[in-house]
Amino acid sequence: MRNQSGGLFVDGHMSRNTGASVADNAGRPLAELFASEREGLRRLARLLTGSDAMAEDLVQEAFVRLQASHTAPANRGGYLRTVLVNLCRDHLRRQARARYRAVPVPLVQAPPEVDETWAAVCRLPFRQRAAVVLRYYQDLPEAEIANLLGCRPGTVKSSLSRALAKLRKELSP
Amino acid sequence: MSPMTDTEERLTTTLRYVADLPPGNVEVAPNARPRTAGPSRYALVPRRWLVFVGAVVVSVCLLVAGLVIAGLPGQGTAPGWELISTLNPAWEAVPGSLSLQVGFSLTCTGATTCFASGPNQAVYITRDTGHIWHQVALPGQPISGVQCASPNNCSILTFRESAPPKSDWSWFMSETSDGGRTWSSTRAPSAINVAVLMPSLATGVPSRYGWASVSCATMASCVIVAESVRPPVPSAALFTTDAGRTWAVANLPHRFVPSQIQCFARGQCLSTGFDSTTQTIAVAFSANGGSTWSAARVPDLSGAILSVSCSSLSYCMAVPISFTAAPTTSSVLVSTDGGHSWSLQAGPALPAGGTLWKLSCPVRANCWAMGDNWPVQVAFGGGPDGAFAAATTDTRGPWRSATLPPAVQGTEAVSCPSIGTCFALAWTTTLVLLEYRT
Repeated sequence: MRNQSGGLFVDGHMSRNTGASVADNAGRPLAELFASEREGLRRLARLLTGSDAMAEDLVQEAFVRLQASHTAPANRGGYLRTVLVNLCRDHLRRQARARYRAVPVPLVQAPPEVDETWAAVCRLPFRQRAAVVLRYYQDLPEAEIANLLGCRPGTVKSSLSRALAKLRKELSP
Repeated sequence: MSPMTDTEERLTTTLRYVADLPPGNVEVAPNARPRTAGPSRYALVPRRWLVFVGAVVVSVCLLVAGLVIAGLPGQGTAPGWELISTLNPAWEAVPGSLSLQVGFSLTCTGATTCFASGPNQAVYITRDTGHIWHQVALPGQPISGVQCASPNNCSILTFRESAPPKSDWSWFMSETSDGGRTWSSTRAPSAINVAVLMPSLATGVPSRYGWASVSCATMASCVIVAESVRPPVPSAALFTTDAGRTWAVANLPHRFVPSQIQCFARGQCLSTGFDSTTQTIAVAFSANGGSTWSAARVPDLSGAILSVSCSSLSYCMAVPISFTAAPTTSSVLVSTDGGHSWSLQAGPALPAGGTLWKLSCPVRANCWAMGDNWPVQVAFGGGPDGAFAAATTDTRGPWRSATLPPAVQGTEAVSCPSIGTCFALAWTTTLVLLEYRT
């Protein structure tokens, strides 16, 4: 589904389903929504999965689900984000079932602090990782993170606290 | 709102940095390590039984593997390297026993893109894993390999001789910010001529180029190190912070002769080479973009460091080579503090007369090393075992040897952009690209 440059929707079913003439069930062209939301979702999925390739696939899948949804979500951006977070969680669960954990490949000559921190983030369990990404990258309040992750705000608070404690321990000299 | 802690700030910076990287830069190595935490479908089975059963299975596998290996002498224990393409025919005529000063270089920035440079006035790039190679248009012939601070930002040092009767030399630093599609070149400062070139002019023959290397942490901030081949003129470092418009000269540590330089973000640079008086290995480092340099603590070892690879600024591995004799055992140098101090560590097993030449470490302690006995045969009378490759995935070793294609007689360079993705330049009857396939 990805072309060589990593772009989406060049061929295959998605290109047919997301052309400019195709509108979603809320009336707004899906291609327009895709153009405005795709990059942000891709970055979010990259941070949650640690994989550009998987991020592209999951963002694409989220749009497919939006298009296939029978009820028009009022906040389609929020809907996409929720679907995407769930897809990322499912993806990582599938990896876990395979009894292996993928390890992040170091970024090409990134500053060492970035490499070390990124590797530490990738080692966090999904809920903690999602909580720190949504909190510290997307700047979402705990209530909204709880809504996205399907848990209580208190759980988000404890996940963040545990994640930070782990990171502090791993990153301390 | 409470102020952010250091960890929170570092986390925020990292997430933004990773999120803003161009596509294709963030990847995981699937199934690279057994899972150590999290849910398991075997959770109802007591863990000690899993350990016991696992130990039995591993023992049986090791026994079988040992029997297989014992029955197949000469076979490697790791998945193999495959020959995937032949490089430009112009390199066919270049003999394998090259001088140490100007060798071939391979820099791969991803699973499909590699730069290859060599001593015949050419730099080539492939964007399809070696199937098609394009010559890069540069103002001169390469004196250094291509160094990349990121998949898009790369630099190289070249030189050009003017037309007779007045033989003169010009040095250029060429940079790309689009992964090698377009290059911009600036004239390198005249000091580099003093350091490297004058002996050639004196004799009228470029009999010896000397070592030189350039590394750009950013497009604007570059450092060149150049060997003096006319003592007592000292070797020099030249640095710019304005993309080569102006340069300044910095003193390297006394008697230090540089072979390579690698610069990272925030002005951290590392240069490897040797001490010209004691003829022992030496390393110099700078924390301010090359303007001042200090000598690193290194073991007292005869020779020079020709190849160094840093997976991050904190972790580097280097290969010492001997000036005087073929080594009987191999060793590598490891630094875990950004090159300030180095210690010796066991290297891969060498075939008779073999020498370890190059290595590449995509991840901390995960390195591929390559060597051969081709030049050694010429200089020291090496044995017949030819080229070899070995990998380690652990800070304490051990190294596992790997099978190279039978036609390979010598190795020139190795470059691993990530775990599981490695390429090498090697000699058969011509120069070829090898790819490691798991």
